[in-house]
Amino acid sequence: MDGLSSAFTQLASVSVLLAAFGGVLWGILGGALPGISPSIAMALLLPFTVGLAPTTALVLLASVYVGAEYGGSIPAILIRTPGTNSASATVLDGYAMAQQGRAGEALGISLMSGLWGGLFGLAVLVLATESLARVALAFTPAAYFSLGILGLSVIAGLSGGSLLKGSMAACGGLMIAFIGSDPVSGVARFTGGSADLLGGVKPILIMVGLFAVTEMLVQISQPPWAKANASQARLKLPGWAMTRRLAKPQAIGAVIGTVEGVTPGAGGTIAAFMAYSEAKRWSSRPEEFGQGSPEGIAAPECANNVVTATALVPLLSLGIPGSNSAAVLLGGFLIHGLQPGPMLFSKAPDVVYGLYGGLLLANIAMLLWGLVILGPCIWLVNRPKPYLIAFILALVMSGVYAIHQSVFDIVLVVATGVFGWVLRWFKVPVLPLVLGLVLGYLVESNFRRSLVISAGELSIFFTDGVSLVLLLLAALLTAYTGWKEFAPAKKGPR
Amino acid sequence: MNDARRDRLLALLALIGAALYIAAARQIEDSLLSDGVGAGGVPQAVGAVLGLAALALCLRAWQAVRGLTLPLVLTPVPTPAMTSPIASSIASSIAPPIGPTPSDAAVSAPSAPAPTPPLHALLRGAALVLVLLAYAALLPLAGYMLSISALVLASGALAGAALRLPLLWCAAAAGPGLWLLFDRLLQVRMPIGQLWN
Repeated sequence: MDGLSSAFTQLASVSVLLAAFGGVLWGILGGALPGISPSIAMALLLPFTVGLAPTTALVLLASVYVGAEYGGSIPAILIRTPGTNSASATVLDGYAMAQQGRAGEALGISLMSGLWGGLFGLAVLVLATESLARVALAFTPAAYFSLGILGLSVIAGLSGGSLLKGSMAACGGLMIAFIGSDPVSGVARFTGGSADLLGGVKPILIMVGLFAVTEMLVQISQPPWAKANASQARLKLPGWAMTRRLAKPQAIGAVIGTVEGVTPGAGGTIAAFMAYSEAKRWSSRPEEFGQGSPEGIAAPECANNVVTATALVPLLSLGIPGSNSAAVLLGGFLIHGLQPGPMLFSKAPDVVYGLYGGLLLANIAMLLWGLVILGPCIWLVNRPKPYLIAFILALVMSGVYAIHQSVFDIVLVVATGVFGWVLRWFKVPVLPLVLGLVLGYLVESNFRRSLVISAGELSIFFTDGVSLVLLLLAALLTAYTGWKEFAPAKKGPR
Repeated sequence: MNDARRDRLLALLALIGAALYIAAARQIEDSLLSDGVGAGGVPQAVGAVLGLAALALCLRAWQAVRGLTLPLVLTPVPTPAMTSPIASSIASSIAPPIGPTPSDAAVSAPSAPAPTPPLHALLRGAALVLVLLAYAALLPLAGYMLSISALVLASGALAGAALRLPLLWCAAAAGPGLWLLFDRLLQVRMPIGQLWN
């Protein structure tokens, strides 16, 4: 109860209020631009959060995530180009409705479904996180190590579709994490004699490079996206009859979004498509799907907004980010010297509960901004793409320098952007790399701590019950995804 | 370049990287404060895992070439640069009523080799990298305002904006505008430049 009252107290804080409304606005505008994902929109603001209070900074970043999920549906409906990956499912029926002259209605359904999804996800986050964190408090160093391995296995297996490439990316992230000083002895590792690297590679720089710079390197040679019709800029909220009709697909979206959100690596895109598929299956009018069915918008939009909150469950309770956006939020925690995980609830409970309050504000802000932002969004989407790219790069380069006033950081971000570009070409997923980077310290330090406790005996990881279960889960998942990858070719139907 | 060839190249590069990394990890000198594992122990293990994954990838690519497995034509790693054809390909993967599992969604029937980015796209990207590095070099010399204006001008032109008044005005406004934002509003001191000091 103290925690919840603390959360409500944060609602009255001016800085949190501004962060929520400002973050959602930034997120909607960013999400409306095809090419700017929620994680990019968040990464762009990361350097600017350095000087903010921890709660304000985290609310700002989380609000961007909330706003971007709605913003992505705007171009999906108007110009058949999803602004975010998770809005891809919205294209299927949203654009069809726009072609029928019902774009305003489609956008209204998207907004309200997103609102219900966000609030539902927040409820799950509040109820589930602390319980899970209490369980994790009992973890030994061996269990923490095994948890890190499980997290890396799940992400490596589920993101990008190739366990091998995911594993390689995870190893790459761990390798980057080891740059700097050894956590036990302080010996310099992989620094090449550079004083700038003695303190390690800051995750925020890698995230900005991989998410923002890489995307600009790709976007610079992509053709411009289609223009939106400004005359469609009239939002229409669903009436009572439509709201009743949308209850079932929204419920489906909520359940699927919850499951996919708490599963590291699954994410909003998969949740949206699964919700769409299930909503169609359980609909009394499945023939309308793909032809402009309101349910075809409600289910995926509800699901992807549920994920914005539920993806934070493994992050806050276990310290394992389950999505790119959660990984950027983890970067926000690290900037302020906070380590997400079970200890966060005892060391900085005000930050956690402030985040809950901020997310509530963010969903309200999404509704309020959504009612008025359509015109400016369409204006922004219609801006010449080269100017947007130039503006984003200027913001990125400025923000990176602002962190430590270091030119080395700029060079590192550019190099990381190039690395991400190469990874994109090789179709190597980025999330396992980011996860390896942020979990590297946890994995290594707990591994070595466990061996100190056991006097060098590796059996500690198998005699500890929790560790054994986690390692078995990791092994089973790895074996399953590995089997799928190496399965012999099946003969197709004649 | 098709996916199998791409995977073999990736596997080769990863193997070389793993070998170099393990060699570098073995060079790390331990201090008296070190534990039994040592500063280089875990990095060596990770390097070994990377090497094994690279070997397995090579094997998988060879299997695909020999027709022993479905060529794993992955859907593009989810990128924000979504276009309707990509949305369609993801949408088509959910035709079964159960819906996709993550790995199902990533596997598609054998298809034509994935296209290599056209040369102009690579050149444009490389040029942008040079522009960004030039910005990093110029920043301490010419100062923030001039450097950021030059960055906006160069990157805008590279992205396709015509070198005309609108772009020039944007570039000219970007310098003072962003300086006001950072130096005055956010209280972050931006460099004045050694040339003007």
